[in-house]
Amino acid sequence: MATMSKKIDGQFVVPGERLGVVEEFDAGTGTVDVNGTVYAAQTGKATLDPTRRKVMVKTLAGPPVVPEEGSAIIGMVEKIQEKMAIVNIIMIDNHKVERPFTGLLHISNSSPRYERAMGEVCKPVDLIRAKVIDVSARIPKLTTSGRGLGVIKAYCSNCGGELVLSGNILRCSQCRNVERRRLADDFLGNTEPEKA
Amino acid sequence: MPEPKQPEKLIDEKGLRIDGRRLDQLRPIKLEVGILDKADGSAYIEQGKNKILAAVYGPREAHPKHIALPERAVIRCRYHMAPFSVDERKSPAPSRREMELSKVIRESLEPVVLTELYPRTMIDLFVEILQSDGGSRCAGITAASLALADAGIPMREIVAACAVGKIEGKLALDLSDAEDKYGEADLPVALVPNSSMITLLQMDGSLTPSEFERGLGMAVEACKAIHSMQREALKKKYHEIKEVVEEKEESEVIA
Amino acid sequence: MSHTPQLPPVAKLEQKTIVDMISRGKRIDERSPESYRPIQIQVGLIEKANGSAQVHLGKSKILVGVKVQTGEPFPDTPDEGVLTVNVELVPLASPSFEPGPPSEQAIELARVVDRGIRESKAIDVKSLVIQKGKKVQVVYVDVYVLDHDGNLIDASAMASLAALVNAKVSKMELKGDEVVAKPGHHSLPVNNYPIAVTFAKVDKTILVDPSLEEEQVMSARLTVTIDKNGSICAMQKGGLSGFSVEELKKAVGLAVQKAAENRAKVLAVAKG
Repeated sequence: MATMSKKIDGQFVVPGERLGVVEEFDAGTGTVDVNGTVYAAQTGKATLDPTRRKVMVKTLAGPPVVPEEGSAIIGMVEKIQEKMAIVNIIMIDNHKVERPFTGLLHISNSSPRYERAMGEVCKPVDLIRAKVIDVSARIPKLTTSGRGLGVIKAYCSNCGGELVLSGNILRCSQCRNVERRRLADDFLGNTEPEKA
Repeated sequence: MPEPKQPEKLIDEKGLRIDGRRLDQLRPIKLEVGILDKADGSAYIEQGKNKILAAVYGPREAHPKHIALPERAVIRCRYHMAPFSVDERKSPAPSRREMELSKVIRESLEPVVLTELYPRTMIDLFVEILQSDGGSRCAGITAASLALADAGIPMREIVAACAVGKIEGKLALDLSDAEDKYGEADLPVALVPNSSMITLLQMDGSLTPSEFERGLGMAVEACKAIHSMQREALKKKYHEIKEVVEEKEESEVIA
Repeated sequence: MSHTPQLPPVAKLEQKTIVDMISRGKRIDERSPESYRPIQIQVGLIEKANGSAQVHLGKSKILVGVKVQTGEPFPDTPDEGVLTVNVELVPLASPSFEPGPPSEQAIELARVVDRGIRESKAIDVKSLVIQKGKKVQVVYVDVYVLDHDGNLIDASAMASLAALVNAKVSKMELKGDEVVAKPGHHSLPVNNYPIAVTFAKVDKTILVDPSLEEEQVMSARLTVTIDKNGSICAMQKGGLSGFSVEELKKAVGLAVQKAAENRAKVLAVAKG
């Protein structure tokens, strides 16, 4: 049995290649168990994890980028309602997504504090950094409540100008309109020098 | 291009076909993986004069939304012939034949894709026939399943396809255009090799049940041969990448 | 674009029960796996058509009208008449049918029926030429699905064959530049009698003549069309799964037998 395992470990495999049987090891990511036989399901390097008795295929192709629980995403706010925002997810775990997935940010997940209205968390066209917390619903649910999460780029709801931070005040760089957002720690708009 | 005239004989006295092949011989096949930049996965096949591109996009958000399925990914498929792919210009609008082939190609690949891993999403499969030379649906399936693998979409195994036909009363493998046109039967088959499952089967013409059994056997053997070419093509593409990745991993370890 | 179809919600509810029954060797309508539902055939119901037939296969109802008109041949076959098969999934036949351009299901159905007739050379298309390259007779086979309770392929193929056999046409000739009908009526030149036999794979069982409920739970479908000599003239696999080589061989054998039985039924009525 050990010799068989040795033979597989580190091998380059393509989908459908037999890796072994479930009595030897469980089917991990990139593999598939078909009636007790484990086959590669992706193209890449077969890797054995002897401590967990698991075989995986570290894929070199793809892998598909879809929102999963725990994914770090960047999204553009498409529209907001009183209690929620619809977000177009344009990056997932640092991979660009050409055709965005839709995500849903509910106000209760938007901030560690109590927020009165979605309009004080984010507004359409803002870019937000969020985490996916639930993919079982029809639309993946997001949170911006954790560290580093929140709005990273914001635009004036009046004139569309970029919002910049001066001190604690978020102000439009064009029309000087003052707005509120749930900002990420590293908000990208804090470039304007503070006024003396 | 002038329309080729009907050849006097499809099989000569030595038992060879118009292109010099034996009855059980495939046309030359060239496979390439990952040749399109934007697609998530792609492949190219030449089989005889067939020149076919296949591309995969996804899994991506289902569009239109109402086609999404709660427990699995939806697969969409389009088989399409370029207007210049045949002797007489073909209208680019999808014909009834293309709509039917889109369906049977999709159905030939559905059984291997682990769609349950990506619920509510959609996987798009595009098969473009740039030049057609008989057996294009089979060559399209062969290429499309490579494109799926290239996209990294988890799949049970790679599907291979090939047609068997009957010319001048004899079973012949992998019919060319002229043989298809003037032959007596065409039997396109797709095989999922490990599970020995036939996922594409069509037939037109005339075959006795015993001819069908022999023809199916020939097609299955040919699919197995094509399957090993598909594996080689994937290995060729990813071997280079693998070496680059390993070098990088090693240098990281050293650093 | 072709996409993975959706099951009606009700079918999902019943799916498990039906599959369990079939795995235990039972069908919901208590047929054996190898038997057809009752087949009723009538011909000549539509006086305005050259030929017509209605087939009831269980609760599925198909009406076929054959119209023969003068038209032009295809440029690549100047010495052949034209045969076209069209299917209308009439919205009154099923809650799943919608008005509009033909669906993928309608196109596949039409093409499978067409292939059976064409490839068995049931209609002698050469005899339909009036003036080579200019004027030919065009045979329109219009399949009207009136009630969809499964296995539309076999019912449509039988109804089309019966309507073709039933059709009476005038012999056309050229008088100067004009095409005129010769007096009297003749039968269409029907030389072969293709019969489609469709199988559904449910779990590991292969069923003949699936009903709608069975189609909704099948993993794969196979149609084998057999001509009067017992040869195969068309095949089509459908569905999200596949068949083993052994299953296919068995199905072909059974198709030969079932086709002979159904052909006798069709011809007994159509030939009168």
